[in-house]
Amino acid sequence: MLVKITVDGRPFEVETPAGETLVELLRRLGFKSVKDGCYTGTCGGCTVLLDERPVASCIMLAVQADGSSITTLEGLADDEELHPVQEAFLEVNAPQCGFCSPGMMITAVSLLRRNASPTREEIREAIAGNTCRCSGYVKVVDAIELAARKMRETR
Amino acid sequence: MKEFRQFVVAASPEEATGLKRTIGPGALYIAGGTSFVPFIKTPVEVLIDISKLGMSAVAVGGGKVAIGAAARMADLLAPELREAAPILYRAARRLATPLVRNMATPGGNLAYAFLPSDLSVAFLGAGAEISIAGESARTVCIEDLLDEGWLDGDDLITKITLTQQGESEGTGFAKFGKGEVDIALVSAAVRLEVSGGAISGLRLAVGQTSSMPVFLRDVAGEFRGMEVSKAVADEVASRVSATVEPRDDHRASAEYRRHLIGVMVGRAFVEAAEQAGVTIAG
Repeated sequence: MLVKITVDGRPFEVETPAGETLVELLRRLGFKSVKDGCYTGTCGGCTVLLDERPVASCIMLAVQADGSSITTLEGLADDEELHPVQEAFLEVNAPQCGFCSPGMMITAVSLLRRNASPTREEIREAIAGNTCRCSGYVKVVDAIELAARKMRETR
Repeated sequence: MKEFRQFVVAASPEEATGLKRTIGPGALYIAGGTSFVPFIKTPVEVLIDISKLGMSAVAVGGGKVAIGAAARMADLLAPELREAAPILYRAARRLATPLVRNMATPGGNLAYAFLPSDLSVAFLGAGAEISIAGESARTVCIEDLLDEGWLDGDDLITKITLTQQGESEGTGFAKFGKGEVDIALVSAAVRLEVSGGAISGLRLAVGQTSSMPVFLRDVAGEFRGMEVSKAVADEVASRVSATVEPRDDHRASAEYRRHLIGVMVGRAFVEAAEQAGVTIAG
């Protein structure tokens, strides 16, 4: 089936078999920051923004995304300038093995668009669908708090 | 890659149900897809996308709460719904993860009620009405749908309606799982109406004890007219616990489930009583 999607601002018109999941299509198009982990919607490695909402792209079909605008980690930076969430993850050293980091950052961006000053509890709730295999959640929460501060200051 | 041969976006409920009738068991409705995209094992001829039929709105008005079958679970967390139907907020807040709640739909969750669905238990406890399109188009109380044997043929859930919670009413929902976002081992929902300190209406539902949610019509009837108290809450819990026939599987033994059901019903009852204005000392 022919699917029209926009990924990180770039329009695509691409043939997809009805059974292809969105994560498979995105990786086929070269967006390798979108991780294919569990294929059951449990780990959140494949998190992307689908028309602003964070979703697990492994449990939806690519055809379901027809007409949508998708944001991956690769679309967060503005040319050479990193997004404050990316900066904060670097500063705090939040990634350990790094596999969950793209999904975590996408979820964080979505949270901070809705809530500029989340509590640690709200951050933990927001990332409930993103599993860190290294169990390094403390620094992830630290990084999202720092990103929120950075974003409030530059506003 | 899944073995789905064709994907058709339906333009109307009539087109969707017509296709389903023509193709039969080889066709499946898809809205969020979060249950069967990951877990289906058999090839599917045609997927009928029902997410673009204008069934995504959630509205409060005229004493009713109307939920479009293809709304997103996350929409059930809206502040106006939290006031009008707090049980949905309670059930949806701990339903899967935020990512899944942005995709999954109430209609899909109900259609797959034989899977561990928290929302079907909340709807059963609250007394929802289910609107169904198709050859046997109808609007039916959820407990009657359960008695009918649930959905069949080209049945397509279009809307779920609840009565708005009144001043002297309360609802409670409790579930127990390994962790907060895990699939429940058991869940319980209670709707309570209080008049002069006594029970004037009571609905009890439990989930994950057998293949479908269980509605405890007779047990609830026994408590009509009784005073809302801690002793009655305990009695309701132990009557439900003694009545259900919990399943035994690798996730929990029947005995453990029976114990948990009592505890969850008790918690849901206390929560419902508090909303109805009766504080039960724990």
